[in-house]
Amino acid sequence: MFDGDGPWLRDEEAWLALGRGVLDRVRPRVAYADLVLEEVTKLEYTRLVSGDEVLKPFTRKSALQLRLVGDGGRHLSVSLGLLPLDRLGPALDGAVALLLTQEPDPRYGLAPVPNRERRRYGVPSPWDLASEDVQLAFDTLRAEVDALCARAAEGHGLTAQAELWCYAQVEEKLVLDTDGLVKTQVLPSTFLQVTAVVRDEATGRLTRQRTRLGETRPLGWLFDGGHPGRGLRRDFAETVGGCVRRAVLQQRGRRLSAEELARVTHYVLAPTAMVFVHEAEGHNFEADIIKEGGSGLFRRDGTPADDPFASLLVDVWDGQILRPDGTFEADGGFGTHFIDDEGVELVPVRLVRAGRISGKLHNRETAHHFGEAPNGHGFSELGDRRLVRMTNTYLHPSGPADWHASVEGLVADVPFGVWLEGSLGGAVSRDGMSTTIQYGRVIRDGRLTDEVLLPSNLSVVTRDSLKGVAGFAGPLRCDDPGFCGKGQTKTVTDGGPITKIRASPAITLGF
Amino acid sequence: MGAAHELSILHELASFAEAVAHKARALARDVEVLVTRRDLVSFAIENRTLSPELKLGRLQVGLRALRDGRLAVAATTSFSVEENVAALRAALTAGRPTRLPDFSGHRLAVSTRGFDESLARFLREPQALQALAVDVRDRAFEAAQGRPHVESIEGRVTVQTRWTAMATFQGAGAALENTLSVSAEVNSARTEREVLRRWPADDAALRDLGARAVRAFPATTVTPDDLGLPASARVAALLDPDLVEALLRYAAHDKFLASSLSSGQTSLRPGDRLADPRLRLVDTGAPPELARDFDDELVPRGQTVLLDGGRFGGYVSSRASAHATGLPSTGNGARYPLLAEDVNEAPVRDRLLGLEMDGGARTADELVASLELAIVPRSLLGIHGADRARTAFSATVADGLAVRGGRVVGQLAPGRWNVSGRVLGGDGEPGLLEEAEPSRDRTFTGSALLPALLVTLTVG
Repeated sequence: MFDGDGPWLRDEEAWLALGRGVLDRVRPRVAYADLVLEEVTKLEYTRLVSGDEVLKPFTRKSALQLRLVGDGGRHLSVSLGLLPLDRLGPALDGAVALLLTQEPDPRYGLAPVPNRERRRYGVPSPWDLASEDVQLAFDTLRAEVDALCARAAEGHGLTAQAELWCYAQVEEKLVLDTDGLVKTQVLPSTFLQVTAVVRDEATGRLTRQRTRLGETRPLGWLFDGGHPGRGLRRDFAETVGGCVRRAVLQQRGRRLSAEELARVTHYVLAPTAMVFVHEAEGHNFEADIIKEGGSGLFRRDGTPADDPFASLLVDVWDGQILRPDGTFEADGGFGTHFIDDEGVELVPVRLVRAGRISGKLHNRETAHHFGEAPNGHGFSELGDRRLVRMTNTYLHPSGPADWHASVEGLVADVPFGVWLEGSLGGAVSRDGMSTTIQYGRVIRDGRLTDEVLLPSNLSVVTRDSLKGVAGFAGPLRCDDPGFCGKGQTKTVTDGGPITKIRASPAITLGF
Repeated sequence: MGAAHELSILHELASFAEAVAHKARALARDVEVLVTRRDLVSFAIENRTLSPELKLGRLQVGLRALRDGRLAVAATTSFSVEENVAALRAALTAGRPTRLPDFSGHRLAVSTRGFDESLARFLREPQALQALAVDVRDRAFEAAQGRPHVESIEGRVTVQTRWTAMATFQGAGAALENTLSVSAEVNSARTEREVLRRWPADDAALRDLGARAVRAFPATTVTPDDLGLPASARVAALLDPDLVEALLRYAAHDKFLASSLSSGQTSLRPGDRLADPRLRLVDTGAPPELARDFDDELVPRGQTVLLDGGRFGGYVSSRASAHATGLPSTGNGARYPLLAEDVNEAPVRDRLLGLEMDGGARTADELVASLELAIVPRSLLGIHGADRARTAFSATVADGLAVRGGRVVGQLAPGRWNVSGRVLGGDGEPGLLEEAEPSRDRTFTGSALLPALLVTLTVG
């Protein structure tokens, strides 16, 4: 069913009954409480390199996250399985009892939820997760990927195999509070990961490359015309084929020598190497990290530690993805939600404007703490505590200056540089970050060469990470899906245009 | 109360697993049910604030069924027998060809070896755990007095109880275990951590963990330039046990798996020289710290010698890879996520489980004191992105110290220390285990009992 603003939840009446029952049980003994009920229904296919396959046509998981706020700012987070209310009772009573023993925290509070009146959000999923086309979808996927592997390895004395992981899911959530808030969201999403493993039969040398596709769309999004019978979308087939070809090319890959590393003048990052932005920038703008003194870009009081901290050429955004016309995509981006897990609508946040810090990512708690508006970045993973999380994080030129139409124009002034492509995850500490880069090429005398580099590690001192941005090429691409861990998992994307950064002591490339 | 409450939950889960397996008899030739429940109470130390968190009654059910040479897989979070059987029925419509002939038929005694009553009280009386968290926090802040370079203190105190029950048509097993973990982090740069399976007789050191982290945090940071190191310098490094484990699990892991043998990703033969003769590494060692007596396929865990005198000892396997390769089944079938899925949703794969490495002749302090210059890296950013095909890594030091003449001269400056190497040699390049001296003292990480390792790393 669809009602004005958005679709109904699958089992909305039962969920409302359970959620209201939980709140009614705790209401007499707390100052405030809110909860989020989440359920994920998923179909999933895995094919390991060993050849073993698993197809799970239908799984469902659910949990409840309850937040209790008592007098004096006492607060407590409770994660529960979706058991009948009578079985939850003792756990709820125990949680309230524990709440009463907490130290008061007068600074604690929750910013109000904007737009309380709107109830429904999301996109109905037209794909029937239980339909027989599931088999066809994954058989098509496997056959096409295997064909791409065979084609790429042919004639090179190599074998290429691929590990596949693909899922399509529908996530539903219900947010309630003791003040009568009711908000729901239905959100489909699809994800495909292909890891190509190429082996030289003569030497035994192994190389690996990984590529990912993901979007808040149902499973048909992967296929031509939305139907698996017609095969993978042409652009996606090219993406997967490119991944296998890179694994083949990397068989002749090399490292840069110490002398070469010392000579590097520029790093040029493809949009798929932008985990760098997620780690070096994004996490440092999460207001819960700022509040605890864990940000390398902010002091604990929320003021910037270094201002301006980046090149004047650079904006950084998180949230909905910017279109060329200046509007935002309402429902695109693997990390997108319409509302967060506190019921706050997601809004695009410009974190950096022309090199100067201009925003933070908030949940209700941090928005209250800093006296700023909540912006819909409070998320939990299926019953976990609601933390500040990123969604779609991307670099964007602050204006037209130094924004080239092609990579050739961008690298024309580079004497000796490195093209980096394909992040394989990353990690951040307060003052530094690190990301594994899958693939590289040498840039020599203003030209991108065919000299292939082995996987490398890009380390950056956070505070200096964007100071050396010296230009861009091509359109913004924010379509590299991933999963961010912060004790719990959140879907995210990161991206930007192709970006050129001057070498400096703040950037280290290692092999 | 004793463990009666926890045992009653375990018996309830075991009965549930057997009920699902029994009800599914008409559907398949064999069925495997894995049920886990985790209850947790945790206090996050966020500078002066404690943030409590409870997780109660969260159930995960992993289901597999065999019919007509095909394997069907499903997962739920439901405590309803009917819902789980319905999930299996749906999964059986999409079974995939498998080499598995059947599921484990072992009937194992209930295991409580990993459960300690002294820890169980914290879940029953969370206020007692809160008192521990307050103590760790307050002692840390007391130690921070007069140390202006200490800007933030964070940490966590957690007690977790885990129930596991499995059932197949022929087999059954159940295990109860709990752990206490305490961590403290200074300036988001230096972490002290302990994982315990029983409450210590003398808890002073535990309560002092945060203070210890503060006292050990140097006021200065050093870069490679500060120590006169050229680009790509080769530097002596004493790897913390947590880092040794990370390198084994992220970089070298696949080389020890029978499934990698059948897919051509490893070609080791027993007796191959892989490492320093002083190294002996065993999977699923005997120490009581490494609890649970069966893997995620209900196969009793046994020891597999991975390295003995530096030579390759043998592969670990799951039931499927054992069947495919003809190698013995070693009880190393684990539901291990490919990336972000829940454990009960993950495929069963070969996996290194509990690890134990023998200690050496000298203590970690003696090893460091013997060197003119060394670094002591404790954790690396991005190690999970290691190149598993080549066992190679290149990552940034997140937490580490520089030591000169046996004295700490500073914290390794964040973002400035990139270290690289290969765990195992290949392609004409040496592996760092080829010359590696283990310390006499060992640390329990929660999943491994390991010494520190003195090796040589490339620093850039």
